[in-house]
Amino acid sequence: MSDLGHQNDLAFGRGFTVRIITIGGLFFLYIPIIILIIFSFNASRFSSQWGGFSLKWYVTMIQDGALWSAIRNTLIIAISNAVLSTILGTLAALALSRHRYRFSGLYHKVLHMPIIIPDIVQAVSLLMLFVFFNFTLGLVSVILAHASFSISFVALVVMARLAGFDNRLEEAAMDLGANRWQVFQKVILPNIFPGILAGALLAFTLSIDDFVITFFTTGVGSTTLPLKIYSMIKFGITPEINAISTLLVVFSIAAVSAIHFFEKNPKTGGKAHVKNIT
Amino acid sequence: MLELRGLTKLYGDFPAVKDLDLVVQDSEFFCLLGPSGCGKTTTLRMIAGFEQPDAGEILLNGNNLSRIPAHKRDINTVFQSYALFPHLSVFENIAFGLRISKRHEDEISDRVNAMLKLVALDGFEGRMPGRLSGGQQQRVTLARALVNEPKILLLDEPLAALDAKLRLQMQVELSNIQRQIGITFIFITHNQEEALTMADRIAVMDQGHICQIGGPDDIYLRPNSKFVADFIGQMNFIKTSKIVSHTESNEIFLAGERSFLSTQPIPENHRGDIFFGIRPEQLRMSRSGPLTRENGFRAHILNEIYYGDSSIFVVELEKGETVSIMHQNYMPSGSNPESFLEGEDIFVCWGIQAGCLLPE
Repeated sequence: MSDLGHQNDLAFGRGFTVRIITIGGLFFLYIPIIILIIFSFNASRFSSQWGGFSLKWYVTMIQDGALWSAIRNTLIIAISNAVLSTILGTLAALALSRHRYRFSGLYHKVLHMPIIIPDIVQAVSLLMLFVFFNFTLGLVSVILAHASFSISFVALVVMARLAGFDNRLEEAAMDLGANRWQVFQKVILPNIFPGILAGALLAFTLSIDDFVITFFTTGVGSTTLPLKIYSMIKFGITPEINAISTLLVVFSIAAVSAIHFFEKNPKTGGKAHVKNIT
Repeated sequence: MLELRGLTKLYGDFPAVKDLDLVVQDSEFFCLLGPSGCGKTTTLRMIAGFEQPDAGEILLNGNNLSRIPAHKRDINTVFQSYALFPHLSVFENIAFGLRISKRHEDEISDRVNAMLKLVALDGFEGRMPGRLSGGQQQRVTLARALVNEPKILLLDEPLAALDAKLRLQMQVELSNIQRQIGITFIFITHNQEEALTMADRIAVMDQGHICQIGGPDDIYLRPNSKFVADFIGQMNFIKTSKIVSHTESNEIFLAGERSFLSTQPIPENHRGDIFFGIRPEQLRMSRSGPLTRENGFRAHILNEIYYGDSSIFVVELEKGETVSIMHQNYMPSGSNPESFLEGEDIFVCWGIQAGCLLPE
């Protein structure tokens, strides 16, 4: 199908102008990251001038205890959030797409709300909620705050996967003697697993990335990596930040490659929905 | 023995199945035949346990199944859509029921391999269902159900998605497999040919009830209503106006002062008109007129539909009806059969014992 499209003379994307625009677009997207990586090897203290090649900022970074505690917090939050919102989001998806209740239309809309509501509104409202209940701000409050929006993303990804699930498989499994739990465990779960995995990765990424909501709901001793970088910038941009950012980029590329690998591996069942959502 | 008593299922106010009584014997190949929407699928789903009847009971060897959920019934289903588990290999699909009932690994492997052999799929155990043809998927579904040695196997239009040639082959195979293993098969279909070729007994269903139950020859040769006769095979219907009983036969009157003799019984307590039904192969064309114990009407040949081995002649009877007549184009003896031409005037003849009288 796509082969035919490439072979006719009308195919878009061959002209000189189109090429220039494409290259310009890619340049715009990637040049800041390339500059960032180059300057992480800068021997000078200031990012504005090149002082020769050096790995010293990587050494500084590795020796920075506060930075490591921020990374540790970020990972604790991201993993806890991924686990919590994957379980709750999957349950929500199962309930909403497999049964019809009164108000199920309303539930669907409510589930979409955290995606639409501006971060800042949600951040302020969560903060007010925690204060109202006298909830100590810290790792737990951040995890709960992250879960409050991640659940929606997970639920949507899993629901997309469930939409392609043939309900007759369930009847077939019951017919062969499986009870409700066995049907879930042996038929439904393996078929929606790629969706669940994609949802978990999405929740994990959203959590690592989040600044606004974390900023409002964090407390003493639960600083995350984005907050730490922000506070470092207040004292001037040093190449140490470039070094941290470079490692984050490398980590992200590795993660995306891993997802692609799982997608292509037939054992996981093919199409994960990560690509379409992020 | 499976017994359905007064089985009823309502969808809203609409009765999909109403007050259905049926007994299926052990090791029988039983067929529920009917047009779509006649309630045959609903009946099957109630036997499997996917639907709860609104009234009536289902008894398997005397035990009431009403309170037993689908997964605890000793009944397995072959689904029309195959419903193979896409994440499991052929082997694991077939082994599914055995793993649920926690059989020993050696037993599972023995029984699955025996099934693969039975459905002629040995060598395919490692394949994923998505990489099988329709016919192969069909066999896996069959094996997946049979491996559990159910008391009854339900088959929901299993051959509907196959092409004509493969369907014919699977019909023969299904009959052979059923005879080989002796499990009761309840097969539902809207294809009368499938029912006639495979079933020991057929129940013809319409609008939620059973019209007639009998062997394939009963249903084909002695249908009890115009609906059954029309649904099974080809049948010419001629509306009668009056029937006069004589000692040896009945005299059947048609519109236009025509009449003929028939030894067929007159249907009792009917409402509405009585039709005389006769199949195309029971009629013959003749230039010389009827023999003894034959009826004969003058007629005019409208056209011939050529099928190779035979032709269907569409013929208009004098003063009335158009009928179809099957005419063999070749005789086994090698002699050439009489040939007829379109537009010719001939006699249409049939034995007085042939055909049947049907209530509307």
